[in-house]
Amino acid sequence: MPDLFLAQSREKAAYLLLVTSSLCVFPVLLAAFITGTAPLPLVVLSVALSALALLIRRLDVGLGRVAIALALTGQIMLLTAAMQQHPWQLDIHMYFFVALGAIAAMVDLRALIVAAVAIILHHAILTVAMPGLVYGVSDATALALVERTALHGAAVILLAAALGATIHTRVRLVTAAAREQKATHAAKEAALAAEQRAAEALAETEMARSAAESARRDAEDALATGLEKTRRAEELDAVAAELKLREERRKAEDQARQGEAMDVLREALERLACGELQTRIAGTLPQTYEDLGDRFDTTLEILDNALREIRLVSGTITGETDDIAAAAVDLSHRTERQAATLEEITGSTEQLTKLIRATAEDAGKAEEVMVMTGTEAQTGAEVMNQAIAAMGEIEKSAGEVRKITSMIEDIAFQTNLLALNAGVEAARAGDAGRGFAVVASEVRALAQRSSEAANRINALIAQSGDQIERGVALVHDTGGALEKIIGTVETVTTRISKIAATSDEQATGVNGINAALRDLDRVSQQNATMFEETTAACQTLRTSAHGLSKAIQNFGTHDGDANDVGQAA
Amino acid sequence: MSLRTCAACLLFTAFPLVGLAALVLSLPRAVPSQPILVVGVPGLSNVEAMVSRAGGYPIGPTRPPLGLLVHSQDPDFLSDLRAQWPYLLLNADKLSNFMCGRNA
Repeated sequence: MPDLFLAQSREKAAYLLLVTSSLCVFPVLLAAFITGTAPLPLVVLSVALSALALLIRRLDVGLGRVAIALALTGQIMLLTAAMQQHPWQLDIHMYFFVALGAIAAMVDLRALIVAAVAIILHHAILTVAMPGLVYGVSDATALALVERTALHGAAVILLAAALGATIHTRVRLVTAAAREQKATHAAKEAALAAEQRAAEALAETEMARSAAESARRDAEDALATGLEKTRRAEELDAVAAELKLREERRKAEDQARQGEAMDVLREALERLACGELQTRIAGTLPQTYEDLGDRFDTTLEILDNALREIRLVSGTITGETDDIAAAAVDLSHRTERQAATLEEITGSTEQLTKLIRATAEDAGKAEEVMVMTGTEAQTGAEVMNQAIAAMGEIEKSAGEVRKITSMIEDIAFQTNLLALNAGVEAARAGDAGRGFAVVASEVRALAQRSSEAANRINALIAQSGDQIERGVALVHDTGGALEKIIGTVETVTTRISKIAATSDEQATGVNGINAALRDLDRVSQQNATMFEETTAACQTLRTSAHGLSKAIQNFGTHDGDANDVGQAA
Repeated sequence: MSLRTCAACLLFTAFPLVGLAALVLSLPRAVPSQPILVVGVPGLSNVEAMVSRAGGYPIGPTRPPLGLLVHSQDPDFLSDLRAQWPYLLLNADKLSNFMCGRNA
């Protein structure tokens, strides 16, 4: 509570000082008017100081007190500056002390110290820079100004120390009061807790006493109940002994009736073991076992009927198994014969397969031979074409030779004329041209022989041309024959190829037939084996059926004699 | 320390700025027919030539550490000096004796 009171007191003082700082703008304005100083800058700075303090207080309450202290001292400094050169300027210093006292009301040592330091710094700085702003004089000596500053600073320090001691004492008292109040509160809490624990202990004691009383009453009730139960138990023991005696007598009677029933049953079972299925025990058993006799007789009746049915069926089975065995033996012989026949067929088809395969191989070889023949015929046709081309060349060369011989004939004719002219000229020359006339006659003779030779060559060439034309015709005929041979060979080759392919397919088909026949042969042999096994099984079954008939004949049934007579017949 | 406390501490730096502004605004302005402390831009202004052109002259046995203490009987001296664009023109009569005042 003292802490709270101190905090409230601090907040209230801070609020009042902030308001005071804001109101300081009016004295500053008044002083500016009085001294003729420009008021606007001072007013702006005054408002700025208060605004700064308010802003810092909003951000942090503790630092806000320091800011308010600075703002308040700043307002006094502005007031002092506004009273510059006024005779009362020095008197304004009293407000520094007033401000310190007011700051002490916030009970914050930090704010007080900061305010005192700000005042001292203000005096020190302005003593150096502008003494007129502090003391209103500007012509004092430096020593005098420093002395005055020291005097003022000492006063501020002393006042701050006194106020600080007061604040410290108050804070200590408040702390002690708070601690004492907390201790008192703790003691009160402890006393209340102890009282509550005592009340709880008293309630628990009361509950324990009530529980003890209840337990004592329960014990007395339990004792009375125990005595009553003992008395009733003795009465029940007497009743139980009497019931036990009755039960023993009833058991003896039951045991006697049971022995009698067992004797009757034993005798009936002995007769049944001897094969007498006509045995009946109904009416011979004690009254409590009547149902046992009825069930025994019913069982024997059902057994008698079943054996009679078995006897009839076993006779039928015996007859049927005889028939099956005979049929199985017959079928086995037939299957064996079928297997032998299949084996022979398999051998024949294998031989047929070999023959078809050999035919296919021969067809393949014939195809190869025909292919080679076709190739050679093709080669012959090409040779014939070349021969025809060579014939054409020969005919062409013969034409050229004919031209040459024609030219030789022309030369010989011209030479003959020249020789004739030369002879005429030699004749005109007389004796001087006689030798020349001989030469001319010789030349003429040579020209005639050349002309004759050329004529013979022409005749030979004409004959050769006819022969060449006939040869060319023959070669053309040969080429046509060869082309027909090539076509025929190709047809034969195609057919042989088809024969070879068909033979391969036949061989493959016959191989499939062989495989199927082998499978059929194997299955037939397996069938024969199975029929043998079936025959053996039929024999065993017939033997078992005879054994069953003999075993059933040991039991005597109602119509057993009649059946025995039938079996014997 | 929370963000708000940091911001509050930062705002405390505004108090010296307010004080500095008050000091600057309270500096005595130069008036005619009284000694003037002329402060030029260091390294750029030739204060003596500036005063000479305005028709003034330096006074005092020694030169003060800041600027130059000058005077003139010419009534237009102050306006002529302002036309030279000095940095500051202060009333030397109201400045501290041992700083820049007329008795330095």
